[in-house]
Amino acid sequence: MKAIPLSITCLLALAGCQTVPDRLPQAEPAPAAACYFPTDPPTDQSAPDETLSVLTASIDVLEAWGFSLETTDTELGLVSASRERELIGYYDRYDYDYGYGSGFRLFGGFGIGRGVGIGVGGSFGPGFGQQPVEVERVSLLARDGHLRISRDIRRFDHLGDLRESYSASNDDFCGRFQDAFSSSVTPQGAS
Amino acid sequence: MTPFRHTSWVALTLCATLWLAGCATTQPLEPRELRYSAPMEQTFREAVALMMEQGYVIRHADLTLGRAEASLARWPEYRIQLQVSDAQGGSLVSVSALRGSQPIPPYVLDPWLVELQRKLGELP
Repeated sequence: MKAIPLSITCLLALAGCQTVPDRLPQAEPAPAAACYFPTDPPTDQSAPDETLSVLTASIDVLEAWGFSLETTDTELGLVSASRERELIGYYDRYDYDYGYGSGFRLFGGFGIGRGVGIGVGGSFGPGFGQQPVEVERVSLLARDGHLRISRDIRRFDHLGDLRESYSASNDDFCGRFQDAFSSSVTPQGAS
Repeated sequence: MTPFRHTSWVALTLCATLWLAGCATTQPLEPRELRYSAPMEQTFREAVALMMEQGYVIRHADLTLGRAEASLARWPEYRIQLQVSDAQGGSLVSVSALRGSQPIPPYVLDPWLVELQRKLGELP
């Protein structure tokens, strides 16, 4: 009987839709050690003042790097920012379906009834001619004399579809941030 | 068309419908809750720090509201919604998560709540 293999296929297909992780996923690899560092000035001042000066210095660094602020909570010690840049000549190396810059999608239907009907339609996506972009998001948390950074990068193609996304709390970015942060803090402390 | 072919077409159509229905159903976003004996402010700070330690980027957080949203850039993008409120002699954490646009079943969030318990030093 053909019904049994068919129903097994259906069950498998449904199971595929329902897969969930057994626990909340984390970034892999975990954020680099450089993304958690002590903020230098000795903690003579009262805690809120110190958090505020750390946040001000971090915001200066982020803005100098072209980030725009999205949300802040000074009481909590949080800054969240993002920046966007256009990618020239970007294509997804894993999925090169349409070709870069074509902006053309094909969809169609195929119907079988008493006769056979074939329908094909084409559409120019709303983002025709739009550049692919890379969006970088960063959040900083100043707490107990330490600063913690988390960061991710997402790439969108010319149709505005998400093509790549990964967590990027790496040594490179955090190390550069740490350098820029300490050099923006030290002159104020020295004078 | 023979009766057998007709039956198999019907079965095939039914299967296709079911298959698509399985993908399309959206369960309501169900939060998982746990009580902590630490005050609301401390719990909220620890929870935000825990999310960042795990690589989540905080999209929004407000200490006064006790509300935070974070996302993880792993396909198809995971998002956490956190709500911490005052409860008698402690705090109540309510957390829910989305995987892409699908809600994650609440039991998946248990290890995270236990990890928060460990950070607050409240493990039994």
